[in-house]
Amino acid sequence: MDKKLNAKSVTKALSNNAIIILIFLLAVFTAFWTWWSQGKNTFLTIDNFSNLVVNMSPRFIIACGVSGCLITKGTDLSAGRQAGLAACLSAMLLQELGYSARMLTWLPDIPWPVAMLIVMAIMAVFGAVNGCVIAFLKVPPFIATLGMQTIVYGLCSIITGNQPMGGYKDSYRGVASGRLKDFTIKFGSNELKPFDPIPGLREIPYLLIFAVIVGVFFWFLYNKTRHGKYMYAIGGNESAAQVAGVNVAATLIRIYILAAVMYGLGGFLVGAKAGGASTATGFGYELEAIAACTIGGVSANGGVGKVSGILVGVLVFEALKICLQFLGVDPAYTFVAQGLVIIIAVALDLRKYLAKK
Amino acid sequence: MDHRTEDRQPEQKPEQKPEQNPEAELETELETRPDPSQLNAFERLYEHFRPVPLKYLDIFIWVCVIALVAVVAVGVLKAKGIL
Repeated sequence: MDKKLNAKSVTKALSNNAIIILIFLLAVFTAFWTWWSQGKNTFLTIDNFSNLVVNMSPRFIIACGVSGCLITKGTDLSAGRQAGLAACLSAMLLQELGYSARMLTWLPDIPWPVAMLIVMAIMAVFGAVNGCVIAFLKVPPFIATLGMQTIVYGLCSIITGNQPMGGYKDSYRGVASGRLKDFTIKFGSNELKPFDPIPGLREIPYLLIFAVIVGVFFWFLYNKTRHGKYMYAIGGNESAAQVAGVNVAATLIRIYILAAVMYGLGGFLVGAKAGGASTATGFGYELEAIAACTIGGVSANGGVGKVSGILVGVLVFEALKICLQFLGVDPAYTFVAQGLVIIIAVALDLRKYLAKK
Repeated sequence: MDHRTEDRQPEQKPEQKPEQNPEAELETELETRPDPSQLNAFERLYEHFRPVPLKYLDIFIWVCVIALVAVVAVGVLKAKGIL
Protein backbone atom coordinates (compact mmCIF):
# COMPACT_ATOMS: atom_id res chain seq x y z
CA MET A 1 0.00 0.00 0.00
CA ASP A 2 2.84 2.30 1.02
CA LYS A 3 4.73 1.46 -2.16
CA LYS A 4 1.66 2.21 -4.28
CA LEU A 5 1.14 5.49 -2.49
CA ASN A 6 4.78 6.43 -2.93
CA ALA A 7 4.72 5.60 -6.63
CA LYS A 8 1.54 7.66 -6.96
CA SER A 9 2.99 10.64 -5.13
CA VAL A 10 6.19 10.45 -7.17
CA THR A 11 4.19 10.34 -10.42
CA LYS A 12 2.10 13.27 -9.21
CA ALA A 13 5.18 15.29 -8.26
CA LEU A 14 6.78 14.49 -11.62
CA SER A 15 3.70 15.50 -13.61
CA ASN A 16 3.22 18.68 -11.55
CA ASN A 17 6.82 19.74 -12.14
CA ALA A 18 7.32 18.20 -15.59
CA ILE A 19 8.35 21.46 -17.29
CA ILE A 20 10.69 22.49 -14.49
CA ILE A 21 12.41 19.09 -14.68
CA LEU A 22 12.63 19.31 -18.49
CA ILE A 23 14.21 22.76 -18.42
CA PHE A 24 16.60 21.69 -15.66
CA LEU A 25 17.70 18.76 -17.83
CA LEU A 26 18.07 21.16 -20.78
CA ALA A 27 20.26 23.45 -18.64
CA VAL A 28 22.44 20.49 -17.60
CA PHE A 29 22.69 19.39 -21.24
CA THR A 30 23.61 22.96 -22.31
CA ALA A 31 26.31 23.15 -19.67
CA PHE A 32 27.81 19.82 -20.84
CA TRP A 33 27.45 20.74 -24.51
CA THR A 34 29.24 24.11 -24.13
CA TRP A 35 31.94 22.48 -22.02
CA TRP A 36 32.40 19.69 -24.60
CA SER A 37 32.31 21.91 -27.70
CA GLN A 38 34.31 24.87 -26.36
CA GLY A 39 36.63 23.10 -23.96
CA LYS A 40 35.55 25.32 -21.07
CA ASN A 41 32.33 26.01 -19.23
CA THR A 42 30.92 29.30 -20.49
CA PHE A 43 27.34 28.51 -19.46
CA LEU A 44 27.52 28.17 -15.69
CA THR A 45 29.26 31.48 -15.09
CA ILE A 46 28.45 34.45 -12.88
CA ASP A 47 28.13 36.69 -15.95
CA ASN A 48 25.57 34.39 -17.54
CA PHE A 49 23.65 34.08 -14.29
CA SER A 50 23.70 37.86 -13.95
CA ASN A 51 22.37 38.15 -17.51
CA LEU A 52 19.60 35.69 -16.64
CA VAL A 53 18.66 37.74 -13.58
CA VAL A 54 18.62 41.00 -15.56
CA ASN A 55 16.36 39.43 -18.22
CA MET A 56 14.09 37.89 -15.61
CA SER A 57 13.50 40.94 -13.43
CA PRO A 58 11.13 43.02 -15.63
CA ARG A 59 9.27 39.88 -16.70
CA PHE A 60 8.86 38.76 -13.10
CA ILE A 61 7.41 42.17 -12.21
CA ILE A 62 4.92 41.96 -15.11
CA ALA A 63 4.07 38.35 -14.21
CA CYS A 64 3.37 39.40 -10.60
CA GLY A 65 0.89 41.93 -11.97
CA VAL A 66 -0.85 39.36 -14.17
CA SER A 67 -0.96 36.80 -11.33
CA GLY A 68 -3.58 38.80 -9.41
CA CYS A 69 -5.86 38.78 -12.45
CA LEU A 70 -5.38 35.04 -12.96
CA ILE A 71 -6.02 34.20 -9.30
CA THR A 72 -9.41 35.96 -9.53
CA LYS A 73 -10.31 33.87 -12.62
CA GLY A 74 -9.46 36.77 -14.90
CA THR A 75 -6.67 37.53 -17.29
CA ASP A 76 -4.96 40.60 -18.71
CA LEU A 77 -4.10 40.52 -22.37
CA SER A 78 -3.13 44.19 -22.36
CA ALA A 79 -0.08 43.59 -20.13
CA GLY A 80 2.50 43.58 -22.93
CA ARG A 81 1.08 46.61 -24.72
CA GLN A 82 0.81 48.52 -21.44
CA ALA A 83 4.45 47.71 -20.71
CA GLY A 84 5.29 48.94 -24.21
CA LEU A 85 3.40 52.19 -23.66
CA ALA A 86 5.15 52.63 -20.31
CA ALA A 87 8.52 52.16 -22.03
CA CYS A 88 7.59 54.79 -24.64
CA LEU A 89 6.37 57.24 -21.99
CA SER A 90 9.56 56.71 -19.99
CA ALA A 91 11.57 57.33 -23.15
CA MET A 92 9.72 60.59 -23.78
CA LEU A 93 10.29 61.78 -20.22
CA LEU A 94 13.92 60.75 -19.93
CA GLN A 95 15.60 61.75 -23.19
CA GLU A 96 18.77 63.83 -23.04
CA LEU A 97 18.10 67.57 -23.05
CA GLY A 98 20.47 68.08 -25.97
CA TYR A 99 19.25 65.11 -28.01
CA SER A 100 18.36 66.28 -31.52
CA ALA A 101 15.30 64.04 -31.95
CA ARG A 102 13.86 64.83 -28.50
CA MET A 103 10.10 64.23 -28.43
CA LEU A 104 9.06 66.68 -25.69
CA THR A 105 11.34 69.65 -26.30
CA TRP A 106 9.49 71.80 -23.75
CA LEU A 107 9.98 69.31 -20.92
CA PRO A 108 12.57 70.24 -18.27
CA ASP A 109 15.08 67.71 -16.96
CA ILE A 110 13.40 65.40 -14.49
CA PRO A 111 15.01 62.75 -12.28
CA TRP A 112 14.30 59.13 -13.21
CA PRO A 113 12.42 58.23 -9.97
CA VAL A 114 9.94 61.05 -10.67
CA ALA A 115 9.51 59.89 -14.27
CA MET A 116 9.01 56.34 -13.03
CA LEU A 117 6.25 57.43 -10.64
CA ILE A 118 4.57 59.51 -13.38
CA VAL A 119 4.58 56.52 -15.74
CA MET A 120 3.22 54.20 -13.03
CA ALA A 121 0.46 56.72 -12.22
CA ILE A 122 -0.53 57.01 -15.90
CA MET A 123 -0.64 53.24 -16.26
CA ALA A 124 -2.79 53.01 -13.11
CA VAL A 125 -5.51 54.89 -15.01
CA PHE A 126 -5.59 52.15 -17.67
CA GLY A 127 -5.76 49.55 -14.91
CA ALA A 128 -8.64 51.39 -13.26
CA VAL A 129 -10.53 51.44 -16.57
CA ASN A 130 -9.91 47.69 -17.01
CA GLY A 131 -11.02 47.02 -13.44
CA CYS A 132 -14.19 49.14 -13.71
CA VAL A 133 -15.20 47.55 -17.03
CA ILE A 134 -14.72 44.06 -15.57
CA ALA A 135 -16.20 44.72 -12.12
CA PHE A 136 -19.16 46.96 -12.92
CA LEU A 137 -20.04 46.21 -16.54
CA LYS A 138 -19.36 42.47 -16.01
CA VAL A 139 -17.47 42.27 -19.30
CA PRO A 140 -15.39 39.05 -19.38
CA PRO A 141 -11.75 39.95 -18.58
CA PHE A 142 -10.60 38.25 -21.78
CA ILE A 143 -12.68 40.63 -23.93
CA ALA A 144 -12.17 43.76 -21.82
CA THR A 145 -8.39 43.45 -21.75
CA LEU A 146 -8.23 42.44 -25.41
CA GLY A 147 -9.99 45.71 -26.23
CA MET A 148 -7.64 47.59 -23.92
CA GLN A 149 -4.67 45.96 -25.63
CA THR A 150 -5.70 47.42 -28.98
CA ILE A 151 -6.59 50.81 -27.47
CA VAL A 152 -3.21 51.07 -25.73
CA TYR A 153 -1.38 50.08 -28.92
CA GLY A 154 -3.29 52.74 -30.87
CA LEU A 155 -2.54 55.37 -28.23
CA CYS A 156 1.11 54.39 -28.22
CA SER A 157 1.27 54.78 -32.02
CA ILE A 158 -0.42 58.21 -31.82
CA ILE A 159 1.81 59.50 -29.00
CA THR A 160 5.08 58.34 -30.53
CA GLY A 161 4.11 58.93 -34.17
CA ASN A 162 5.36 55.37 -34.78
CA GLN A 163 8.92 56.65 -34.32
CA PRO A 164 11.46 54.63 -32.33
CA MET A 165 12.96 56.62 -29.47
CA GLY A 166 16.44 56.72 -28.03
CA GLY A 167 18.92 59.22 -26.61
CA TYR A 168 18.27 58.37 -22.97
CA LYS A 169 19.91 60.11 -20.05
CA ASP A 170 22.79 58.19 -18.50
CA SER A 171 20.97 58.02 -15.19
CA TYR A 172 18.03 56.20 -16.84
CA ARG A 173 20.27 53.74 -18.68
CA GLY A 174 22.11 53.18 -15.42
CA VAL A 175 18.92 51.86 -13.81
CA ALA A 176 19.21 48.73 -15.95
CA SER A 177 22.96 48.47 -16.45
CA GLY A 178 23.99 49.61 -12.96
CA ARG A 179 25.13 47.45 -10.11
CA LEU A 180 25.30 48.11 -6.39
CA LYS A 181 28.98 49.07 -6.68
CA ASP A 182 27.85 52.09 -8.78
CA PHE A 183 25.48 53.34 -6.08
CA THR A 184 26.78 56.68 -4.83
CA ILE A 185 25.69 59.04 -2.08
CA LYS A 186 26.77 62.66 -2.53
CA PHE A 187 27.67 64.93 0.38
CA GLY A 188 28.40 68.25 -1.29
CA SER A 189 31.57 67.60 -3.24
CA ASN A 190 32.23 64.23 -1.56
CA GLU A 191 31.01 60.93 -3.01
CA LEU A 192 30.48 57.77 -1.00
CA LYS A 193 30.08 54.31 -2.57
CA PRO A 194 28.78 52.23 0.36
CA PHE A 195 28.47 48.88 -1.47
CA ASP A 196 31.69 49.04 -3.49
CA PRO A 197 33.95 47.40 -0.88
CA ILE A 198 31.54 44.49 -0.17
CA PRO A 199 32.46 41.59 -2.52
CA GLY A 200 29.15 39.71 -2.32
CA LEU A 201 26.96 42.72 -2.89
CA ARG A 202 28.86 44.93 -5.31
CA GLU A 203 27.94 42.92 -8.44
CA ILE A 204 24.20 42.73 -7.71
CA PRO A 205 22.29 44.46 -10.56
CA TYR A 206 19.78 47.19 -9.71
CA LEU A 207 17.13 45.28 -11.65
CA LEU A 208 17.39 42.41 -9.18
CA ILE A 209 16.69 44.84 -6.33
CA PHE A 210 13.54 46.06 -8.09
CA ALA A 211 12.43 42.44 -8.59
CA VAL A 212 13.15 41.51 -4.95
CA ILE A 213 11.21 44.53 -3.64
CA VAL A 214 8.23 43.67 -5.88
CA GLY A 215 8.44 39.97 -4.93
CA VAL A 216 8.47 40.71 -1.20
CA PHE A 217 5.64 43.23 -1.61
CA PHE A 218 3.48 40.72 -3.49
CA TRP A 219 4.27 37.94 -1.02
CA PHE A 220 3.18 40.22 1.81
CA LEU A 221 0.10 41.36 -0.11
CA TYR A 222 -1.02 37.82 -1.01
CA ASN A 223 -0.31 36.19 2.35
CA LYS A 224 -0.60 38.78 5.05
CA THR A 225 -3.28 41.25 4.02
CA ARG A 226 -7.04 41.29 3.80
CA HIS A 227 -6.75 42.17 0.11
CA GLY A 228 -4.88 38.93 -0.51
CA LYS A 229 -7.49 36.86 1.32
CA TYR A 230 -10.29 38.56 -0.62
CA MET A 231 -8.44 37.87 -3.85
CA TYR A 232 -8.15 34.12 -3.18
CA ALA A 233 -11.77 34.05 -1.98
CA ILE A 234 -12.98 35.65 -5.23
CA GLY A 235 -10.86 33.21 -7.22
CA GLY A 236 -12.27 30.25 -5.28
CA ASN A 237 -15.91 31.24 -5.57
CA GLU A 238 -16.94 34.77 -6.46
CA SER A 239 -20.57 34.38 -5.42
CA ALA A 240 -19.61 32.90 -2.05
CA ALA A 241 -17.11 35.72 -1.50
CA GLN A 242 -19.79 38.29 -2.29
CA VAL A 243 -22.23 36.63 0.14
CA ALA A 244 -19.49 36.53 2.78
CA GLY A 245 -19.21 40.31 2.59
CA VAL A 246 -16.23 40.74 0.28
CA ASN A 247 -16.43 43.89 -1.82
CA VAL A 248 -15.74 42.05 -5.07
CA ALA A 249 -15.89 45.10 -7.33
CA ALA A 250 -13.44 47.15 -5.23
CA THR A 251 -11.06 44.20 -4.90
CA LEU A 252 -11.09 43.54 -8.65
CA ILE A 253 -10.46 47.22 -9.43
CA ARG A 254 -7.55 47.27 -6.95
CA ILE A 255 -6.10 44.13 -8.56
CA TYR A 256 -6.24 45.56 -12.09
CA ILE A 257 -4.81 48.92 -10.95
CA LEU A 258 -1.95 47.17 -9.18
CA ALA A 259 -1.36 45.01 -12.25
CA ALA A 260 -1.18 48.08 -14.50
CA VAL A 261 1.21 49.78 -12.08
CA MET A 262 3.44 46.71 -12.34
CA TYR A 263 3.29 46.86 -16.14
CA GLY A 264 4.31 50.51 -15.81
CA LEU A 265 7.31 49.59 -13.68
CA GLY A 266 8.15 46.61 -15.89
CA GLY A 267 7.93 48.76 -19.03
CA PHE A 268 10.09 51.45 -17.44
CA LEU A 269 12.78 48.85 -16.72
CA VAL A 270 12.45 47.19 -20.13
CA GLY A 271 12.99 50.59 -21.77
CA ALA A 272 16.06 51.26 -19.64
CA LYS A 273 17.45 47.82 -20.42
CA ALA A 274 16.86 48.07 -24.17
CA GLY A 275 18.21 51.65 -24.39
CA GLY A 276 15.32 52.54 -26.69
CA ALA A 277 11.58 52.08 -27.12
CA SER A 278 9.06 51.83 -29.92
CA THR A 279 5.51 50.66 -30.44
CA ALA A 280 6.89 47.12 -30.79
CA THR A 281 8.29 47.14 -27.24
CA GLY A 282 6.54 44.67 -24.98
CA PHE A 283 5.06 42.65 -27.82
CA GLY A 284 4.01 39.22 -26.57
CA TYR A 285 4.97 39.91 -22.95
CA GLU A 286 1.43 39.20 -21.77
CA LEU A 287 1.55 35.64 -23.10
CA GLU A 288 4.98 35.07 -21.59
CA ALA A 289 3.73 36.37 -18.26
CA ILE A 290 0.56 34.23 -18.33
CA ALA A 291 2.61 31.20 -19.40
CA ALA A 292 5.16 31.81 -16.62
CA CYS A 293 2.33 32.05 -14.07
CA THR A 294 0.75 28.83 -15.38
CA ILE A 295 4.10 27.01 -15.27
CA GLY A 296 4.54 28.31 -11.72
CA GLY A 297 1.25 26.84 -10.55
CA VAL A 298 -1.06 29.87 -10.81
CA SER A 299 -4.17 28.13 -12.09
CA ALA A 300 -6.15 29.81 -14.84
CA ASN A 301 -9.20 28.55 -12.93
CA GLY A 302 -8.51 30.93 -10.08
CA GLY A 303 -7.95 30.71 -6.36
CA VAL A 304 -4.47 29.23 -6.56
CA GLY A 305 -1.04 30.82 -6.94
CA LYS A 306 2.08 31.75 -5.03
CA VAL A 307 4.79 34.36 -5.64
CA SER A 308 7.49 31.67 -5.40
CA GLY A 309 5.69 29.76 -8.16
CA ILE A 310 5.65 32.84 -10.40
CA LEU A 311 9.37 33.25 -9.84
CA VAL A 312 9.99 29.63 -10.83
CA GLY A 313 7.77 30.05 -13.90
CA VAL A 314 9.65 33.13 -15.10
CA LEU A 315 12.99 31.44 -14.36
CA VAL A 316 12.00 28.37 -16.38
CA PHE A 317 10.93 30.47 -19.36
CA GLU A 318 14.06 32.63 -19.36
CA ALA A 319 16.31 29.62 -18.76
CA LEU A 320 14.78 27.94 -21.81
CA LYS A 321 15.57 30.99 -23.95
CA ILE A 322 19.14 31.31 -22.66
CA CYS A 323 19.84 27.58 -23.07
CA LEU A 324 18.65 27.57 -26.68
CA GLN A 325 20.65 30.75 -27.35
CA PHE A 326 23.76 29.06 -25.96
CA LEU A 327 23.15 25.99 -28.07
CA GLY A 328 23.06 28.26 -31.13
CA VAL A 329 19.47 27.32 -31.96
CA ASP A 330 17.76 29.50 -34.56
CA PRO A 331 15.24 31.93 -32.93
CA ALA A 332 12.48 30.39 -35.06
CA TYR A 333 13.01 27.06 -33.26
CA THR A 334 13.07 28.92 -29.96
CA PHE A 335 9.57 30.26 -30.65
CA VAL A 336 8.34 26.73 -31.46
CA ALA A 337 9.88 25.43 -28.22
CA GLN A 338 8.31 28.28 -26.21
CA GLY A 339 4.93 27.52 -27.77
CA LEU A 340 5.25 23.85 -26.86
CA VAL A 341 6.16 24.77 -23.27
CA ILE A 342 3.00 26.90 -23.07
CA ILE A 343 0.87 24.03 -24.46
CA ILE A 344 2.38 21.59 -21.96
CA ALA A 345 1.77 24.04 -19.10
CA VAL A 346 -1.89 24.52 -20.08
CA ALA A 347 -2.35 20.76 -20.61
CA LEU A 348 -0.94 20.10 -17.13
CA ASP A 349 -3.29 22.72 -15.68
CA LEU A 350 -6.20 21.10 -17.54
CA ARG A 351 -5.14 17.70 -16.21
CA LYS A 352 -5.17 19.03 -12.64
CA TYR A 353 -8.62 20.55 -13.22
CA LEU A 354 -10.08 17.32 -14.65
CA ALA A 355 -8.45 15.17 -11.96
CA LYS A 356 -9.96 17.42 -9.28
CA LYS A 357 -13.42 17.09 -10.80
CA MET B 1 -28.34 10.88 24.90
CA ASP B 2 -24.90 9.69 23.87
CA HIS B 3 -26.18 6.09 23.73
CA ARG B 4 -28.81 7.08 21.18
CA THR B 5 -26.33 8.54 18.74
CA GLU B 6 -24.06 5.53 19.12
CA ASP B 7 -27.00 3.25 18.43
CA ARG B 8 -28.03 5.14 15.33
CA GLN B 9 -24.68 5.10 13.56
CA PRO B 10 -24.59 1.42 12.54
CA GLU B 11 -28.14 1.71 11.18
CA GLN B 12 -27.23 4.64 8.93
CA LYS B 13 -24.17 2.98 7.35
CA PRO B 14 -26.00 0.74 4.81
CA GLU B 15 -28.02 3.77 3.59
CA GLN B 16 -24.83 5.70 2.76
CA LYS B 17 -23.68 3.12 0.21
CA PRO B 18 -23.55 4.73 -3.27
CA GLU B 19 -25.92 3.35 -5.86
CA GLN B 20 -24.36 1.47 -8.73
CA ASN B 21 -27.12 2.36 -11.20
CA PRO B 22 -25.53 4.00 -14.29
CA GLU B 23 -28.53 6.29 -14.83
CA ALA B 24 -28.29 7.55 -11.28
CA GLU B 25 -24.53 8.08 -11.74
CA LEU B 26 -25.20 10.14 -14.86
CA GLU B 27 -27.76 12.20 -12.96
CA THR B 28 -25.31 12.80 -10.11
CA GLU B 29 -22.63 13.84 -12.58
CA LEU B 30 -24.98 16.27 -14.28
CA GLU B 31 -25.93 17.67 -10.87
CA THR B 32 -22.27 18.15 -9.88
CA ARG B 33 -21.51 20.03 -13.11
CA PRO B 34 -21.18 23.72 -12.33
CA ASP B 35 -23.53 26.31 -13.75
CA PRO B 36 -21.90 27.55 -17.00
CA SER B 37 -22.74 31.17 -16.13
CA GLN B 38 -20.52 30.87 -13.02
CA LEU B 39 -17.48 29.73 -15.01
CA ASN B 40 -14.71 31.86 -16.45
CA ALA B 41 -13.42 31.55 -20.01
CA PHE B 42 -10.73 29.01 -19.09
CA GLU B 43 -13.11 26.86 -17.06
CA ARG B 44 -15.66 26.87 -19.87
CA LEU B 45 -12.91 25.74 -22.22
CA TYR B 46 -11.75 23.10 -19.74
CA GLU B 47 -15.32 21.84 -19.31
CA HIS B 48 -15.31 20.81 -22.99
CA PHE B 49 -12.56 18.32 -22.13
CA ARG B 50 -14.53 16.68 -19.30
CA PRO B 51 -15.40 13.54 -21.36
CA VAL B 52 -11.73 13.08 -22.35
CA PRO B 53 -10.13 10.33 -20.23
CA LEU B 54 -7.02 11.39 -18.30
CA LYS B 55 -5.09 8.63 -20.07
CA TYR B 56 -5.47 10.41 -23.43
CA LEU B 57 -4.51 13.73 -21.88
CA ASP B 58 -1.36 12.11 -20.47
CA ILE B 59 -0.56 10.74 -23.93
CA PHE B 60 -1.04 14.24 -25.40
CA ILE B 61 1.30 15.74 -22.78
CA TRP B 62 3.92 13.08 -23.54
CA VAL B 63 3.61 13.76 -27.28
CA CYS B 64 4.17 17.48 -26.61
CA VAL B 65 7.19 16.70 -24.42
CA ILE B 66 8.65 14.48 -27.15
CA ALA B 67 7.94 17.21 -29.73
CA LEU B 68 9.73 19.75 -27.51
CA VAL B 69 12.76 17.50 -27.18
CA ALA B 70 12.69 16.87 -30.95
CA VAL B 71 12.50 20.62 -31.74
CA VAL B 72 15.45 21.34 -29.45
CA ALA B 73 17.41 18.44 -30.93
CA VAL B 74 16.71 19.50 -34.54
CA GLY B 75 17.56 23.11 -33.66
CA VAL B 76 20.88 22.10 -32.12
CA LEU B 77 21.77 19.74 -34.97
CA LYS B 78 20.91 22.43 -37.56
CA ALA B 79 22.99 24.98 -35.66
CA LYS B 80 25.96 22.62 -35.74
CA GLY B 81 25.44 21.96 -39.48
CA ILE B 82 24.76 18.26 -38.93
CA LEU B 83 21.25 18.40 -40.45
